[in-house]
Amino acid sequence: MELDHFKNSWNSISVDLSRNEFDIVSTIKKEMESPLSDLKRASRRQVLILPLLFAFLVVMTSIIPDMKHNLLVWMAFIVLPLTSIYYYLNLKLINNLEEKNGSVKNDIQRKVRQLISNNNIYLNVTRVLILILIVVTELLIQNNRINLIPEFEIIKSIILPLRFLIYAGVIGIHYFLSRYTFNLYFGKYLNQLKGLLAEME
Amino acid sequence: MKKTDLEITFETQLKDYKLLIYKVCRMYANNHEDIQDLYQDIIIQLWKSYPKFRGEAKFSTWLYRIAINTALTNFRKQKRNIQTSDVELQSIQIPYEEDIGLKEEQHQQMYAAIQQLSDVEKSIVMLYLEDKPYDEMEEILGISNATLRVKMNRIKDKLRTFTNNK
Repeated sequence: MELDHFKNSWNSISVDLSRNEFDIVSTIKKEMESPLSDLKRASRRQVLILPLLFAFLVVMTSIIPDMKHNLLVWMAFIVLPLTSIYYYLNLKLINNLEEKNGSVKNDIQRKVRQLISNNNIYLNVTRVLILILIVVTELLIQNNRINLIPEFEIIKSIILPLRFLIYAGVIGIHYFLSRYTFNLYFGKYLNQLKGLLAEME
Repeated sequence: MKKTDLEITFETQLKDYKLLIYKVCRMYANNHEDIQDLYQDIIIQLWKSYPKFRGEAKFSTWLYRIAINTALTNFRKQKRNIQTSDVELQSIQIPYEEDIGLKEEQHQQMYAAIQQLSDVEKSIVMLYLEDKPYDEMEEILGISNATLRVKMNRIKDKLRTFTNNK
């Protein structure tokens, strides 16, 4: 049977669209379950939890005076708001990915570009933060002030070449962990979009 | 339940296109649960995008873009598709499709043949069956006119081979 013969069948499709499940207004009141719904819920949770954690840390620091002398706590004061911003931007990205604009191919291309660029920004920001932590730790060791981060004092006793090996290990773990996390959250979705684009070429 | 003005406008404008949306769902979903889920997702997606519709494209073009895009990038449907066997695909019964007597067999043949196609090919076939000119198909899908013609020939060959082997 040729494709043109299907036209008759296609045009004769008849459906009882007066049934409740096809009602437009009651349908728009429902929540859409997109492939990104779980991720959206997780990001929303983080956007709420992280500021609460930040507030908790502020309260604890004011109650326990020793915490004021811990550099790690001060770092948390910087990292927590940055992480909150990251999750907020992530939430915005997901909302953006759920939107559909323009022709199908252009829209998919836009989503692929957005996903890749968002991942690159995340990778670079976290890399810079890790590098800052390494440089600060090393500077404190060289200036005998590592007691500012009591948790890191053990590093002082490790010889320099081994320390560099540990730093390299941390950077390596971050590389693989961030790739794993990205694939876990967006990998399947991104591959699906790339597959569709390849099909459209 | 009281309807807002925007909801009334949306409903009025969409009323004539319900069958079209259903056809998109029927193309991509293999059982009535999936059809309902996809129908719901498409309507919600259209509703979300509706305030941004400025009339730069025809309403039907805008609707096709969103409906096909939603169907293509819908994950839940794909998860279920994997579990559905070819046998099920060909003997699917949809409770709300009206009895069309002798044509029923032709419908089953058509759906069975369409299920052999990839998701993108399905969208091209659907627009072809809707008698859309290649220019409009390009506007909807974003695939160039020349590529669409090449793909259309391949699809015809694929369907011919499938129906001849049946």
